[in-house]
Amino acid sequence: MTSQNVELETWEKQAIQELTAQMQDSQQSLEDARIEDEFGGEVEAGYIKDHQLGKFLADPSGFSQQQRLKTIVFQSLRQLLVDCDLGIGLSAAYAIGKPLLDERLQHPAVEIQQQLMAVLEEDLSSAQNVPLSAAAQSSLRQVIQTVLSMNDWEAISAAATRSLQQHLKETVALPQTA
Amino acid sequence: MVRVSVELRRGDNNQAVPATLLSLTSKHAEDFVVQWRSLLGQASQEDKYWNWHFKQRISETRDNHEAYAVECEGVTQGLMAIETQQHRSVLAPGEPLIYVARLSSAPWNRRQIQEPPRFRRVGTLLLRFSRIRSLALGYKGRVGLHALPNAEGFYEHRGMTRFDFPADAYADDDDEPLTYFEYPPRRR
Repeated sequence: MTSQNVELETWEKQAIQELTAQMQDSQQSLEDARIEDEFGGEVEAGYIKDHQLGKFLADPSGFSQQQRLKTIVFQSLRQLLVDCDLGIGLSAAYAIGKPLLDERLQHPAVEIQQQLMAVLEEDLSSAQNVPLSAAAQSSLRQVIQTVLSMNDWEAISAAATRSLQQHLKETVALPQTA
Repeated sequence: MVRVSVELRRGDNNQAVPATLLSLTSKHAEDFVVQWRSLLGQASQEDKYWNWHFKQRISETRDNHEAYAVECEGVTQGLMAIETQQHRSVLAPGEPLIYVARLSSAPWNRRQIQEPPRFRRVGTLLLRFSRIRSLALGYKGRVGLHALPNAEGFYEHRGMTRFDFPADAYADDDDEPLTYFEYPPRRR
């Protein structure tokens, strides 16, 4: 336990006493129980990386490679949207596109799997921080453009458009329509 | 070693029950493995993989890690691990805070798994204790944490400030973004 020599002010000492007293206070415990109950007793907090620990332990190498591949694919999607020059709509477009792409790549066709594995092999065989070759980047873009359907692209562009419209309204303070 | 008397409430009749909040021991970590894990797994709870043995070891060997448990009727009812030196406030950039690395209530205390739950108030007590540690270390009551999705409402209601970081902040990271919450300094 941290045992720093801290000179506490009076209010801090009082606050500690107050919070400690609340731990045993019956009225407070009733109120705390009521609030917890209101939210179903769900109080869990913690960084989610551990959430994937089981998958990692089951197949450390495969899991790491899968994570790396997903990172490369998402980076490529983001770059593709950056190149579309969406401006203020970029974040909204990416926020919609990322889960759609993740879903479309759950069960990819064999040729898509082969393209992705080739990109991953190139990435793993090159030194860290060395960008993918132009051919690999082009291949990734092709994968993204293939697996995302026309409806997906419409959803992505609609998100960017809404974001731009909202930004415009806020900037020029247009009255909201019903 | 910390040992604080606390009060829980029974889930079925709201009756007060004495309990203890204390430093985490290997017994608590073992309770998680033997009594909690299979129930958490059956209910597909996000925290089923958390390694409390590791947290217990690290809290014994590192100055900046602490871990606590709530015990009632001889059984571990809640667990919390905090980091005390390396995390900084988002509300007041640069200011140190207590970061709640893990906070978990026993599966039978969650209504999603057992209705009515065996005990209520476990999570609240652990969260309150993190605030006490923050004040004791001169951090003015600042506490930060990432809430699991089902618990966001609870932390919002407990007066913590919510931060929804933009999706772009996670562009290179495959983790699903969790919502960050922070307690501002306690008023004087």
